[in-house]
Amino acid sequence: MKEIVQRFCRKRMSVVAGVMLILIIAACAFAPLYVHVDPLKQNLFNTYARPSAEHLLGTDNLGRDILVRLLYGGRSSLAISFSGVLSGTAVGVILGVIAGYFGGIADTLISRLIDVLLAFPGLLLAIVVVAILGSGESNTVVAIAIFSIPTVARMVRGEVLKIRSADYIAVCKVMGESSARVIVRHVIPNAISQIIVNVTLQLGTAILTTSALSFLGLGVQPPAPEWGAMLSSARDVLRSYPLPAVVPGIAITLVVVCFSLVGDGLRDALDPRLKNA
Amino acid sequence: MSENTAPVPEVDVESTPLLKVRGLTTAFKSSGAMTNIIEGIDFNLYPHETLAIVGESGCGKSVTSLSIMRLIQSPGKIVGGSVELEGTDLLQLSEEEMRGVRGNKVSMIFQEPMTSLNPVFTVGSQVMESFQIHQHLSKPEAREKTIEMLRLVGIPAPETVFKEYPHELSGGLRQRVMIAMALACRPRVLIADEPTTALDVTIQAQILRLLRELMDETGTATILITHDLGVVAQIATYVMVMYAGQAVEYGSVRQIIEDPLHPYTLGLLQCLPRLHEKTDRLFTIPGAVPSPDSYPAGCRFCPRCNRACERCRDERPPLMELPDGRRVRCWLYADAEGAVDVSTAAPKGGESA
Repeated sequence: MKEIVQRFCRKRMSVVAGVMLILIIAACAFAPLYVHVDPLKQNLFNTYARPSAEHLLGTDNLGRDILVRLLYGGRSSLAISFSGVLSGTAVGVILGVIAGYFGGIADTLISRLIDVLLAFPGLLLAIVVVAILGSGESNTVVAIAIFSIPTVARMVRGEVLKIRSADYIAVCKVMGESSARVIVRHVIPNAISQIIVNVTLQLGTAILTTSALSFLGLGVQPPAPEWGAMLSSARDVLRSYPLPAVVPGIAITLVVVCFSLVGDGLRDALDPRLKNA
Repeated sequence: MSENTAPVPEVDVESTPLLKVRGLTTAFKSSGAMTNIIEGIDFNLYPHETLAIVGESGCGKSVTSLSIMRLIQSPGKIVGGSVELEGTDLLQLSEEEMRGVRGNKVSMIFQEPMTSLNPVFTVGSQVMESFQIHQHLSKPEAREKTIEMLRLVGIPAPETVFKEYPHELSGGLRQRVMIAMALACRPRVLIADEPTTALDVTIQAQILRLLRELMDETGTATILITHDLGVVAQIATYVMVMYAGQAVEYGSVRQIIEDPLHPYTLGLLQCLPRLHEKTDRLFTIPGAVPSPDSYPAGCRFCPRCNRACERCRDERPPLMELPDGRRVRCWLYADAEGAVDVSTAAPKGGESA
């Protein structure tokens, strides 16, 4: 464990990205505790206000405080992405383990299902899901989950295939362990680092997808704040007053880049090939 | 070679064998048809005994041991015979019951100590598992027993090793851990699949000595799978020589090493380098083990045998038991006085020395 932290710390960029992510997530998550302005409160006499002491990042087309909406918007973007990716990963891990460990017909069925899901471009798949289920926050979570299942399942299947043929799994069987115990005690712990890396990388993509769905009006519905939705409502005045669009744009970019840098760092830190045997 | 001249431990012929294997046959599916990989394996194993199964790669040694453990994976399947452990036929047990046997009554150690331990858990937690599974001990109890076991297999500072990860240990120590794991529940039978092949020669000797001591202490009978005749001479009581999925010779270690009957056994022994003989080239048996789908019509060793005759090419030799109790599958001994065809009949137990 200590070793892993040390290896992670060797990558400066990843550390910086990690710290920034933690700050952003904390700022968004705890926003209701320290921000006492309603993100939905309109003031039609003060639209498109320039940044000032009262409104640090100015106001938008309906006179709502952009900074407050940015924080609350981050809350929903991040919450949707996290719950989507985590539930998708859970399902993906189960499918991947079944396919990889038991093989046979189960493997064939699951692998073909994965192939079908992967055949759609990610965003299109999410749009299809939302089109079927209807828009809204919880359906966006489902869309994100379904969107992340195939990647996780395929990765886990590959890992399990590799682990299953390891000598220590044979030893476990010889020791009289049941398949369930072998999977829970030995197979999954050996795949967990790959799963963690994958979750981190997927989170970045999920943020993008969530925002994209909201931007298209399929995700979080106005007037609720969400980065993609904010971007969408600001695009009309993009030429004359770009600030309301630029702010959520930067937030999305920053978070996505950070997740991807942290994911890279984690991958290098957890890579078993770098582990000194 | 002084080891093998030591008297063979007295075996009571009347006592019931611990493990009785009869006609064990395992087939693998290849291109639609089932092909027998091992055929009609018979042997008895008594307490304290070590049976060495010898043969070159691909002759079915490992399939034999995995068949006994019932761990043959698809497309393989045990198609016949019986494996009786203290009167219970393991082949008739349910998968659930079989899990209670594995690691508990029959245990196994593998060739590769470097990869046989799970890299993400401490050594202790892995050895502890057998106590938890089979004896349902609580954690502190299992921990105590584990440390005791690690000490028994000669690991210095077992409390420290308990907390270490496999990559922190040397190959010899890891193999000791594997032995501790395998012997944790005091199994009746231990199958050791080339336990010393991956180790340094000096460590090999230590591990073999350890195995032998532990066997004497616990009464565990061992099936030793190896291709190293030096190891056989050191710790085996009986030897079964396998070729192309069949037993071709069976006898006490002294009989096999000093007076091999089957041309294949003779060939194996001649392959060994000798200390006091000056030779430029070592003896080799020409050719390779035929693949199971292209066995010759007659004796399977015939194409490589330097004493093959007409009969060997056309007819399969049966397994014959000679008056001194040893068995051989070769036409050369078919007309020997007192030779009895035992290839179908249930074989008698190992003879006393």
